[in-house]
Order: sequence, then C-alpha cells, then structure tokens
Amino acid sequence: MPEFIIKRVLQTLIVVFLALTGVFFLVRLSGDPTILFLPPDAPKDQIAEYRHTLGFDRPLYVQYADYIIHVVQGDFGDSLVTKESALGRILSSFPATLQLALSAFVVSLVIAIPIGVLSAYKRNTWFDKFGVGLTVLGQAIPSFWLGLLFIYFFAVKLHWFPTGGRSASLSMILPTATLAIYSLARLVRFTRSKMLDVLKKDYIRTMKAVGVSTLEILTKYALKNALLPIITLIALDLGALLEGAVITEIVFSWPGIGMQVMNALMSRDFPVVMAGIFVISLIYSVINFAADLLYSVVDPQIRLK
Amino acid sequence: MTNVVRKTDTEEKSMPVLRRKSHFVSFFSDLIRSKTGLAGFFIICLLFVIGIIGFLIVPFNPMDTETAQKLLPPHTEGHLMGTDQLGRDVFSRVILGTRVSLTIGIVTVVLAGVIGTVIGVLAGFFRGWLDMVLMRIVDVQLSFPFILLVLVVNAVLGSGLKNIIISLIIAGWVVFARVVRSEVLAIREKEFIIACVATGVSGWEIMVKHILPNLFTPIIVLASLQVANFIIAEASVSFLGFGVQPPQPAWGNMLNEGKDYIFNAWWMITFPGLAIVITALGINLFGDWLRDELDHDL
Amino acid sequence: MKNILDVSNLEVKFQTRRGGVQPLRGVSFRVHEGETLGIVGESGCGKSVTLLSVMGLLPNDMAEISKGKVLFEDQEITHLKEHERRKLRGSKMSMIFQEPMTSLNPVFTIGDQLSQPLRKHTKLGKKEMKKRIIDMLKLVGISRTEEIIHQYPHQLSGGMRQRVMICLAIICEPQLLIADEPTTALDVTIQAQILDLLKKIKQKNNMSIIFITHDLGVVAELCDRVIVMYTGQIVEEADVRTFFNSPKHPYSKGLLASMPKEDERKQKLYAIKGNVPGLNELPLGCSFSNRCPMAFDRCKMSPPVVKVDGQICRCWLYAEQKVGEQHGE
Repeated sequence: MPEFIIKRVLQTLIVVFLALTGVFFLVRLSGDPTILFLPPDAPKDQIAEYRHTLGFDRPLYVQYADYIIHVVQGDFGDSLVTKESALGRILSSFPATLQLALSAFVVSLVIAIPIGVLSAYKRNTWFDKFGVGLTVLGQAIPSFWLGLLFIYFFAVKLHWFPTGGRSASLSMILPTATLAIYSLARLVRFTRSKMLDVLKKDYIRTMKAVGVSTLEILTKYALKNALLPIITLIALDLGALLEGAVITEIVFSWPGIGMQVMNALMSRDFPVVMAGIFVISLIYSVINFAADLLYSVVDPQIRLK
Repeated sequence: MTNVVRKTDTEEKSMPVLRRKSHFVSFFSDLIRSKTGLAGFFIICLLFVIGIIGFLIVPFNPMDTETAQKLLPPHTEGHLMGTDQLGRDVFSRVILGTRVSLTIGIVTVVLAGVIGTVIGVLAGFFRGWLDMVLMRIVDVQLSFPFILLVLVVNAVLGSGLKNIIISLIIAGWVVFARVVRSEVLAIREKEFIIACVATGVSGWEIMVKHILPNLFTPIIVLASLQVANFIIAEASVSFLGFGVQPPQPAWGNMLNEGKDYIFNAWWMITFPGLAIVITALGINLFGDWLRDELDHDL
Repeated sequence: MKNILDVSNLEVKFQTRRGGVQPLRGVSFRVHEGETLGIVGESGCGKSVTLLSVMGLLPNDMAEISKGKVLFEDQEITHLKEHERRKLRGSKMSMIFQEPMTSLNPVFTIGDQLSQPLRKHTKLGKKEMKKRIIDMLKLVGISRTEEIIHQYPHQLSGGMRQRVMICLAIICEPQLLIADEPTTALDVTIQAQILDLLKKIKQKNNMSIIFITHDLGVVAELCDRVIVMYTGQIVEEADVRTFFNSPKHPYSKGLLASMPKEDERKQKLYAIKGNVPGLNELPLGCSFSNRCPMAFDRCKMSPPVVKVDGQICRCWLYAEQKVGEQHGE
C-alpha cells in the first residue's frame, strides 16, 4: 500500500512536470514569446528591453532549466498584468472553483444515481424511455449555451438570480445548475447501463433464487457491484466537470481558476496560464489517485500494486 | 433472346457481390427498424445537404451589414430568425455556419483518428520503450481538460479556421491512441494471433492482415461519437473568442456576439445554439445506434 | 406417492427484438416426494426455461407464461404475486446453477451471501444464524468454516464455490431442489464428489431433486426417473431402468447411442445427424423428423403422446398402441 502511494505520487509528479515542459516549449517554439507577452503595438526598443529582462535572449535550454529550477521552488514568476505572484493568483481563485465543482457534483450525483438505477429497473417502460431521451438530449446541449439560456430566462426575464459573479447569495444557483446538468446526462446513462450489466449477472439470479426482493437486490447487491465502474466514470467525470467548470465560470463570470486562465490567455499573461495548467493537472491527477484508492475499498479482488 | 441470356449470365456471376451487398442491405433494414438511429441518420443527411448547397438557398448575404436593420426580431422584413447587431441575417449565418461546423468536425476526426490510430497501433504492437514514451505523452495530455488544451494551443497558434483544426487535432488524437492501443493489446492475446505467431507469420503481416481489420469497428464507433464532441469543442472555443473569427459565420462566434445582446435580442443566442444541439443530437443518435449495431454483429 | 410438483401443459413465450418465439410448447410432468427426476436434452431444448418458470425466475420483461399450470404442494403458483413467490424461493424450493464461478457475488463475503436466505425466511438471531451457516457448510463438506465465511468467492476454487452454492440452496431445507447442470463446469473428480454430496443431502433431508443435465451418466447414477426434452416438448418420460434398457423415442435412442461405453472404446461414437433447429424454423409435425432415422410420412403431422409399457413417448412409431390424451399428458 505505501509502495503504491509512493509510486503514484512519483507518477503524478512526472506527468505534471511533462505537462509543464510541453506547454513551455509550445509557447516558446510558436514564435518570439516577448511579442506574446506584450501588446501587439509595443515599440521595438521596448520589445528588446523586455526580452532581455525576461531572459528570452538566452538559449532555450538555459531558459528551460531556469524555469524548472524556479518552478521546483514554487515560483511560477509574476503575472505580467498585475505583477503579483502567478501561482498566488491561481490559488486564490481555487476556492471558487472548488465550491462550484463540488456543489454541482453533489447535485448531479444525488439526482443521477437514483434515476439511473430506476431507469435500469424499469427498463423499457415510459420512465426509462423518458430518462434515456433526456440523457441523449443532455449530451447534445453544450454547457455554455445552457448557461446562456439560464441567464436569459432566470436572470434577464424573471430576475430570480443575478446574471453572474459570486457576490450575491443566489449567484451560485445558475452556474451550479448548468454544471450539474452537464454531468448529469453522462452519469445517468452510465449508471443505467452498468446496472443493466450487473442485473444480467448470474449472482443476481442467485440472490433472486433465494428469495431476496428486487428492490433489495437493486439497492444492496447490484449497486455495490455497479459502484466500481461508476466510480471510475465519476473520477473521469470529475475531470470533465473541471472542464465544464472552465466554460461555466466564463459564462457566469464566476471568479474561479477557469476564468483566471481564460483572462490570462486573453491578456497573454503566460506565467499565470502556466501556473493554472500546473494546478489543474495536479487536481486531475489527485482525483484519479483518489478514485484508485476508492476502488480498492469497493472491490476486494483488487490489490493495489 | 440474346439479351435475356446475357442477363442471367451476369446475374450468376454477380452472386458473391450480391451477397456482400446483402450485408449492406441488412445494415439499412436494421437502421430503418431503429427509430432513433434513423432520425439521427436523417439529421446528418440534412446537415450535409445544407452544408453543401447552403450558400445557394440563403435569402441574404450572411456577410452583408445593414446597420439600419440591426437587431430585428424574427419574422420581420423577411428575416426568419431576425438580424444581429450589425444587421446581418441570422438565418443565413446559421445556414452557412453548418459548413464550418461539419468541415471542422469531419476533418479533425479523420486526421486525429488517423494519427491516433497509427500511434496506438505502434504502441500496442511493439510495446517496450516506444509504448512507454507514447503512453506518457497520452497521460500528460489527459491530465488536463480537453477544452483547456484546445484553448491554450489555439491561443498560442492564433485564431482562425486552420488553427482551430490543428488545435483540435493536437488535443484530440490521444483518445484514439488510447482506445486503439488497448484494442490492439486485447487482440494480441486472441487465439488466432497466437496461432499466427506459432505458425511463423511475420510481425508486419500479422499487424496489417490480422490486427488492423479488427480495429475497424471500434475506430468507426469512436470516430462517429467524437465528431459531435469536436463540433461542440470548436463552438465552445469560438464562443470564448478564439477559434473561428467573425465575420466568418460559425455557431460558436455567433453565440459569442449574441451574449452581449442577451438583454434585447434573444434570437441571437437561441438559433445558433439550437443548430449545435440538433447537429450533436443527430450525430450522437446515429453513433449510438451504430455502436449497438456493430456490437451486435461481433 | 404424494406429488410435490405438478406441471401441466406449460407454455412459455419470449418476445425478442426480432419477433416472438415459443421455447416451451406444452410441458407436463410431476415430481414425487423424495424423488430425483432427471431432465435431459441438448442445449436449447427448454430444460432451463422449464425450471426457471417453476422458480418464477424468467426475465419478466421478455418472457411470459402463456398457458398451463404449476402446482407446488397442490398450490397453483404461476398466478402468485411476486412477493408471495419470493416466500417460496430459497425456503421451500431452491436452485443451484451451472456456473459456480459467476453465481456468487464477487464483492460480498461468503458468510454474508449465505445469511441472506436465513434473513429472508427465518427469524434466527445473529448467533444462531452463524451456527446454522457453519453447520450447513460442514454438511456440504467444507472444513475451515470459520475462515470461509469471511472470505470472498474469488478466494475459493470452483468445487468449493459449488459446495457453497449447494449450501446456499439447502440452508433453509427446501422440499424441492432444482439443480441446473451443477457439475458441468467442474473437473471430473470434483463432479463425482458433488454428486455424492447431493445424494447424501437428499437422503438426509428427504427432498425432491430435479436434475437438469445433458450427461446421461449422471442420470444413471443419480436419478429415479428421466424426462427427455426436445425443442420445448417432452418426447419421452420413463423410470431410469426402463429408459436405459429400452428407450422408445428415436431421439432418446440417439442420445443413448452417442454415449461412450467402456467396452466400445475404440469404436467411433454415434452422433445424431444435424443440429437442433432454431425455435422459429421448426419442421412441420414432429420437430425431430428432419433428423430422425426412422422418419416416415406421418411425421409431417403432430405426433401423439403414447403410453408404452409405463413409458410416455411422443412419436408416431407407437401410435397403433394406446393413444394417450392428445394434449398435455
């Protein structure tokens, strides 16, 4: 077990390190980074001076080594716009993202699993068909458009909620709903199909044959069996949720990491972009790691290696 | 008389061909039996027609700005879906946006699919250090959100149709590589491959003759479902102000322009969004059916 | 002798995506108290469907009992509500399945799964339950019982799992045990042990057993009476001795002839020609007529059910003798 954890931590570090390396070279090789870092109408001497202060006139490998040395010390450089620490800016917006993602996650989980289970149980009835229809539709609706529609109906027309931001107490509702619906469709669909798989298994028939009721089989036995693949999807889905969060944050001006990175991209504030990528890929890896740990708790057949 | 004789002649010769055709026929008769698959198929056909001849049927030039006519609601002065902030006809722009979306969806899926397949096959077949290196790259790419990767790459490369396609390919090939690799690993363990190895068939021949044909189904299914993902991804990126730039009409950038007028022009955010939903719905319905159908055959 | 089970004229229909089929076409048989009945036939002949209908375990979204009655202890059970059926299952009638490897839930301990029928059908307390489980595990020949109840199925061998399955089925001491090819997936030596075990339990508890198999050797060893099924119908019914000495139906003869015998080791085994026809492509009249070496022109019509020397046989060959009722028995 400790061996497994050490191995995974190392793996995570390698992946994050490679991700940073990739983006570093992507940014540097795509042209003179100074120009990316400055407004397009900057005068020539200012560009040259800036290039020197940022160290872009040095050979690439020196720049890379320098960057990595700083990153290892937790220094991602300063924001080119606000001059604050880039990592600090990203981390300060982390709670907002966490709040949005977690609340949406909980909402979608609480709705999706019962619907998925019921849909599988009532297979081919109107309830099931309705549920499946909604999930198919839900997967075809881009979250940013759903967000726009919500803003139009509930904020612009009905004035129930603010159009965006995080200051008002009700401002959470619309982004949470948008993001929850985004992952709801996939979770329902996946829960249903996994439950159907499990309900076909011989061991379910065994339990029926000794007189256990369908409801009990469904909630106690089948759900525990289906939980394993569902956990995998949820882990993957938390990643997707993060992706949806980026878009949702931008639509609702929710001041999370997604919006920070987006703003940084717009203003070509690459130190902040790099710090954002670092934090996001770290979160991703941690989620996957947690899913693996959870796995071993649910399935006695899995020994962590 | 001679005519008749000839006819039966060709009929007999074409027997094997006919048999192969019946596979094709059964494919379509199955499609007709599935309501949802058929609906998806019709939507896709319709989109193709609109994409190809759309420029012939638009009532207005989608680029024509007419500030006097700006922000007209639907059904006024011949504007079926109203006009935008520059007085351009929304209907015509939605129609022309079809071509952009379809082009992006198909081109990116084909290229990302080919690249991903080649890499997946190499990694799965040769294993060893090559597999390790390639799969680390895949891990890295999968360690952050697809959309964010597209955004970052696009921001670095610059906007525009060509660059959004390149960005989508760079971000999208990994899914194919991963699926293909695991399929190859699974096929390698099958008895018939082991039998080939045991009878001394060369590695190259095994790969081309025995492994590649078995990858066809999973790749087709994955690709059909990825088209919708890529179209939505492009729309998202264009919506965020990168990707396809106005005045070129794309559903994503129309929504981007529309969101600034959300207080007084609901039609600007409604119709392009509906177009995306219908497109994604059609492709997904067909893709889901295709997966079930091909699975059924296996 | 008292009947524990009386199935009469049972018909089952399946609805599939590509139309309906009828896997059971009027099946009637009885099981006496304390008797072992063997049901034989090739795959797809309706053996399992028959017994799943008796248990009430047919997949209810696609299968339907369209006709016939099942009397269990003189009570008609096909019309019972699901919760009433549940009371019978696991307590008065229970079933062992073919696949011991997949029939136990991989994420629950053996003890947990064995306690399930007790929780459903008895009012035993925790300690009594555990005692009962351990006693029953010992009965099915498992030592290290204290250890086993905390283990998961994947930690046990196939033979051990089948013992656990048997234990699960008999833990409430049912009157009727249905065994659906319980030894097919096991090694030969384990097979013999499991058969011995079933014999022992039957004697001890005086239950009736229905034993589904396609292995006639097992029938000879274990059963009192035999039913031969083909394409959803019973084609022959006889007591074991009569069946092996003078089978009547050509299909039964074929089955017996295709069984290897010790003194014929070097000879080529007989095989019934052709394959079992699909349920939607049955030949007209006798459904075995297309494979039957004795077929003649009357076989184009539905064969009668005939009683010959205490055997029941569905065949035109014996039609000159006493004709039984046309339908059912």
